[in-house]
Amino acid sequence: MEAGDLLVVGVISLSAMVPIALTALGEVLAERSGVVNIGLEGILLLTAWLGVYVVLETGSILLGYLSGLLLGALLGLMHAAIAVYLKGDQIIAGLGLNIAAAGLTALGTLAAWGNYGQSPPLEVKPPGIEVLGQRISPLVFLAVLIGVGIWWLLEKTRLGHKIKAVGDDPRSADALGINVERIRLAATVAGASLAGLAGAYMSIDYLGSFVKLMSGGRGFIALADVAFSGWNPLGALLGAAIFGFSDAVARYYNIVAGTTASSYLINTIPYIVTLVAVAATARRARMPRALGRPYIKE
Amino acid sequence: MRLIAKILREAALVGTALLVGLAMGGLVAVFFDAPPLGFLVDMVLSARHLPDIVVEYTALLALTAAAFAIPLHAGLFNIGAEGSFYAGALVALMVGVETGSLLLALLLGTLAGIIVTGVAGALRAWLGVNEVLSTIMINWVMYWVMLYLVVDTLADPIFTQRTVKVPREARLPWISVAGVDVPSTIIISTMIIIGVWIFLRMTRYGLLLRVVGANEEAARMRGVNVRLYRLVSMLIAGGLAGLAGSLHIVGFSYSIDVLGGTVRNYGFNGIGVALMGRNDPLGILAASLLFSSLLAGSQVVEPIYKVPKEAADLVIGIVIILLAAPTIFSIIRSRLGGGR
Repeated sequence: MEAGDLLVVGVISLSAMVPIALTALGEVLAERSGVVNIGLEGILLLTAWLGVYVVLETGSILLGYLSGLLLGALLGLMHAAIAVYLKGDQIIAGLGLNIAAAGLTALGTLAAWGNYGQSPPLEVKPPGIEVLGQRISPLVFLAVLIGVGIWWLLEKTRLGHKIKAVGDDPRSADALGINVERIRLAATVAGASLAGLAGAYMSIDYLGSFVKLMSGGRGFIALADVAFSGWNPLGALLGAAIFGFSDAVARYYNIVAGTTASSYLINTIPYIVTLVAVAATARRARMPRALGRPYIKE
Repeated sequence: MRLIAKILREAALVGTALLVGLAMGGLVAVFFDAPPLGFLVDMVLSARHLPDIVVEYTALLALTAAAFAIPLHAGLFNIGAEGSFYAGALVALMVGVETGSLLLALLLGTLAGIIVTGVAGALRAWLGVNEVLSTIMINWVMYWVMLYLVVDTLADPIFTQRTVKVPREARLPWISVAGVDVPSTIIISTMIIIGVWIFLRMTRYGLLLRVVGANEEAARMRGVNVRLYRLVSMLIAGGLAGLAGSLHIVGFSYSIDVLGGTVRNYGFNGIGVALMGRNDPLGILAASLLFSSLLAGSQVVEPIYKVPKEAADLVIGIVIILLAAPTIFSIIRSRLGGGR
């Protein structure tokens, strides 16, 4: 790879980082309040489908993003209902959502576009600025802003302290008069909305169409990023940049090499990088103490 | 008597979740202009037209379900059966082709599964890496490695849409049971699941494994090496999933297609089977038969009703979501009964 190519890969990484950054930032917020959402992969897939569907029907990119955000919030509401109010098993609920999402998007693709694999490509060009022949989406900047915003919320505001208290020690938080369930509901819904935005971005902007199972494990890479970051939004941005870069390297080589047998091996890079990054940082990570456990009042 | 009451309660729970899931499947049918009731009845019952496939799915899904259930008894969520299944299938194929030995193919395929899930088990034991994340990443790595080997190394020079086939001498025979020919996969699988039941219920190791999952602190107090018990649960799981992948090759498909479609989703569906079987080996056997009928049935009715077979995935997903929060049903019941 030459220096010029490296720059191009750098620009592609910015686009590749967005879905992981948004999803991971939302999940940092939710997990800080004590709720794990393994169903992020399913949310990405469903909102990617809906985003393209809405843009194809209305011609409006903005409506596409809004619909992704809204569906994300709705799925977050469902997860919160199970995890927070029904005291259900958060991991299993998320696994179920992922399986249902794979089925539902396959059905939706056939119903909407008459085939089993993909949507027609979008004709509307998403907004952005051109750098080295690659378009940079405004969502790159939005993702960084949201990251800083969530950091500020968690570290500098009273609400942030309440969220962390609920995730670390819900019993004491409850004794202090904080409404544990309501805070967890809000954090879960907000987090899932960001995943919804990420899903819509992936189909509307990053790929320009919907393709079967296109989320490709990014929901889980985002979950890994949360652990890698030590539940810190700024760390999650850094992690997303690393994962975005490895994604971009794989993508770049596939463009250069074409789809050959060896490009299959190159596709393993983002997953191996993720695994190594999480393994290298797992020892020092301090997760919210009540993570994944429902709060049951005595 | 208490046991029977418990079984009835669990069956009612699973049955209710299944009914809700099937109702959603009916809704899908309406959406595709198919009669919902006819579609559902045919989906559940038409599996009898594909007995070989149902038996095969049942045998394999029971094993991958046990690969999820055993670590769960120890408090771990093992999503890695999918990757170990690929590894088992690949190694069994390669060994079968190279040596022509059925036994070696099964043994080394199982070993490959142990190693793949074992990586996640070791990362958890020594570095504290969350096993959900590691197993998912390993699944993806194994998926691409499999496609690479299938296209690059194992491709059949004449039939380019699939790999070379395992030779006849390395294939599992069918066995005649009471005059009916049955694939030996289902017999091997059933015996192993019964073995798992005995292991979990009647051996010291199995009992302590369940203590580790139910109450880590209590297990430590009794001097149980929690880390070791969890690692071993992952190794057993990897072995079961690797064996399932190997059996798939030597007992059923004999080759892998270039898209990997013939080996996909056994691991993931095993999770659903384990949850529906309430993590009990005998429950798993029943659930895997039910699941297999649903999967096979959805394939039979697809061309008749023009409803994609993915409708089955939706049904399964909804059932799992409902089973995650069993309190849902008690709340509905208390609302319906007397309105208190």
